[in-house]
Amino acid sequence: MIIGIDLGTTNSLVAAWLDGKPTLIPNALGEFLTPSCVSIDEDGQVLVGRAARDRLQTHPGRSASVFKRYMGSGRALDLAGKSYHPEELSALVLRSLKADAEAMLGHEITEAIITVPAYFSDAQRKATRTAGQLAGLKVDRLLNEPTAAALAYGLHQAEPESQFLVFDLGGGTFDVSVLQMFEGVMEVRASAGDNMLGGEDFTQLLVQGYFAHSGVPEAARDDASFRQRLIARADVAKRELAGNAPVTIALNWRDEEYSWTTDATQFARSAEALLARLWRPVEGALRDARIPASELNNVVLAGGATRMPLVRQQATRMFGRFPESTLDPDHVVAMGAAVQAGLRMKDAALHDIVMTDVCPYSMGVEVAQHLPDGSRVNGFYSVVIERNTVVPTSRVGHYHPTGANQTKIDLQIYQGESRLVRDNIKLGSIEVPITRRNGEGGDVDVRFTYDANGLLEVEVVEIATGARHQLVITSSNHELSQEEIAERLKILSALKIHPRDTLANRSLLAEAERVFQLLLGANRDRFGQWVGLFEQALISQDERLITDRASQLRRVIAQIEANGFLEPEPV
Amino acid sequence: MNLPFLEQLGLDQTADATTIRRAYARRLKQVDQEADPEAFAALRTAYEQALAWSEQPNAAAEPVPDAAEPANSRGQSHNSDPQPPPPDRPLVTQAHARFAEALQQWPNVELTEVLRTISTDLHHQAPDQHYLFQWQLLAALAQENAPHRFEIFLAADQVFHLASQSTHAPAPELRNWLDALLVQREAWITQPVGTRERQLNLLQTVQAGTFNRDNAGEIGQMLNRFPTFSSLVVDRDARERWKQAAEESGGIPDAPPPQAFSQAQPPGKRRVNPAASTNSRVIFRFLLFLGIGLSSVYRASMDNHRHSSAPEPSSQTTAQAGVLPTYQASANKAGAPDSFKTQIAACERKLGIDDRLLQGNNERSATARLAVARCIEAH
Repeated sequence: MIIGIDLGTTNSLVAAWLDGKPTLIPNALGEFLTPSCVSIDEDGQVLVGRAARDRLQTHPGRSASVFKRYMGSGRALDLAGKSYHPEELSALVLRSLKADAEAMLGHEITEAIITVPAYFSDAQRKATRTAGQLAGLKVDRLLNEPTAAALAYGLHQAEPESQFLVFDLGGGTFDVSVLQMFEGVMEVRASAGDNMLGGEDFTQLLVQGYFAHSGVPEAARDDASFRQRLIARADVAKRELAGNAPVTIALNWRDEEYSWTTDATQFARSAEALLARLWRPVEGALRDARIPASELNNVVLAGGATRMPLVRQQATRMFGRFPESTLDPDHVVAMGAAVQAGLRMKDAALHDIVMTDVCPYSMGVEVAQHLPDGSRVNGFYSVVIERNTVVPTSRVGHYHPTGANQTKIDLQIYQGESRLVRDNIKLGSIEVPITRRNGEGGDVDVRFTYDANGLLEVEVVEIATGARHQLVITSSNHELSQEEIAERLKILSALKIHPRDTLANRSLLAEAERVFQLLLGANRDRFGQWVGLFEQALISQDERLITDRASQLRRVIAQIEANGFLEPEPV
Repeated sequence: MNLPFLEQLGLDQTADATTIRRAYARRLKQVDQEADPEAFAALRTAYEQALAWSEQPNAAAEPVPDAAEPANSRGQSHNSDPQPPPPDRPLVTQAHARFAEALQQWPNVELTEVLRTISTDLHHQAPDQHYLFQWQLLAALAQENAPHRFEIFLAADQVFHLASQSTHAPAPELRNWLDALLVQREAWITQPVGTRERQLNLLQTVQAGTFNRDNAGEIGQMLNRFPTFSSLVVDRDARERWKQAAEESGGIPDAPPPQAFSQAQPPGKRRVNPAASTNSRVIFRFLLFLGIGLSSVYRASMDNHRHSSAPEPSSQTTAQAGVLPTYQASANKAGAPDSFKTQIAACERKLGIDDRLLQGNNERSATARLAVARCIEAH
């Protein structure tokens, strides 16, 4: 059994191909969305999901989120005094999803399809595969997120032939894919994206707005716990901002309330630069697909950030039509991953469906260029695989050395679209010895092979001698080596994961701690008593008492979230 | 004899886009893309070749006598090579007019900001047309007769990020021009600031016709080393004037012309790549028309502004502005001679295309314009 996983910046989901259709798998709390957050509690136990998200506010130093943004960057995050790679934190999320799938399916899961943003680079893809490995999952396939969304959407398509665009704005990344469907073939015509644009950026605008206008003292900016509370509130606010209704963000800092009121118009103005960045990928994908916007049958939204009214409005404006929203944009990528799992398992229900994808960016090597007077300039980019080539693919570029008696070629490998390598992303470098005398010989063929997972292999052949150099790109020292992975695996297995069966109670406690922080004065005292009662019950290990008090506490929290205060009630 | 790519798909020359797609789909379902990438690559190549073949107007058994016939039974699919977008799009024209207007205010206007605003507005109003606007503007720059090319280039670089745009070029020739420009600019900016300023000043004296003969060596070197880049400051006629003057005063090395649009590959790098299709060449010519028309829009706007400057040579290119009705007014203002119009008229007659079809805003018209472009190119 292969499961499909949407490993998101903000939330992650797991789904499986069951009884001929994609089925979402709930987590221990009965929810489909597991926040991509990790926290380590005081006992050294790992918490993943909602509990960890709540603890971002109460224990910012012991909790981490948004780590997908740093995948493959080599950057480590500090958590409870220890340093973790984003791959490891992702692995903890994956492990939790794996456990959810195993609980529902009743058997061990060892293989998964994991989705990645189409525009993820080679290093980011490798990091994702490593994360899977660290979670004990063989990554059968890395699937591009918009392609996954299209797969889920395509299955719902009644029309046998159509072309549509997937507009996928996630928490941290933006992808656009243009697809064509015919005769059961789902062909990605082109993809484009922006790896550093997502819902989190819109949240940050509100966070900055609040700091600038609410009158909260400067010191609050450095208060990690306060910042997390603000982020959580801004996250909700960005989805409320629509029409003319003003939205107020009011938070307590050191027992005093600071508030800031804004509206959709103001928000749109401050978001102008972000919204403008949505254009380039849309334009690029349509152009590469050679399909004009007017000939699209549909525009499909994917990614949680497309719930924002501001983004929907922008999408409507871009395409001159209302985008399709029959499928939940939060679910659609995971559903597509499950469809791909079904395809990989050659499920009978899918025997007539086949999908082809593209590599969304160009890949090539650095070359020198000659000026008309014969002098040379370095730093230029020669493309070997053009963007939006159907994958898997293999292409050859032919190059020759610039020096008359050069003994080696130092091939610098890049990904990107700029003519200048300094604007592109470096994937790695390879040194090849050559034989060249007095300007003769030493020419090489450089073969790039790009597989369906979006991973690149490079082979260099010296033409004169036939000497072959099969090369694995060791990317710019950010990638974990096999030894490092083994070692990390050991450390991760030593981590105690919070037992799944008590996770619901642990999450409730984390939520209660978060809510406790929001309250002031008498409300806080009263609420403290409810929390105390629940904690007593937990210690007693009396199942019935725990259940009773948990539901009491839930009711109280719901009351606070609805009214902002707690009515005095005999305890 | 059957074509090998059709053979591979189990088709013969009666195939059309639909049957090709169906045959491809059937075979694709029998190939494991991951386990057998070679079989997949072979199938994919055959499919792409077959599609391209089916979309060629005269690929079929009965060759179309001339491309003038716009109705093309195989060209139904939008997968065909990019059609030249209908040029008479009011929003794009408006955008150019706005920019031309701003140019009149130069140097009292921040060109980058203006261009950014225009580009953003166009994005909002008509995302499909932004590409057209961008490349028309660049084609105008490539023409060496729009005023303030250097300033426009700097602004365009800021707004469009030209280094990452050259691979989007609608035609290899325009891409080569932009590539050459970028290479030369890279080399140019590695020089010390003082040298750069001095070089620009010298080039401006060449353009204005006020150059000092003592600087001829340095100017010659600059034109030699950075011909395309220099052409953003010095237009063809000014360069000719300078060359003559320099030769009169003796022994200046012959400066090569700026990147010709035809130079296929920069030296020092050979690529195993299919040659550019003739189709894209024609489209490029077509874009050039637009560029030419545009530069006269910009030129006309400048003529009102600085009548005092050196007499504008009536080069052949300005004359071509009459091609498109949208640019007709400005072309008249620039005093376009009729020779080029005559050429168009001749081609129209030869192909049996009438003026109205040429000016339309649909695919038929686009095809007709292509045919006329091809015809003019043939002369």
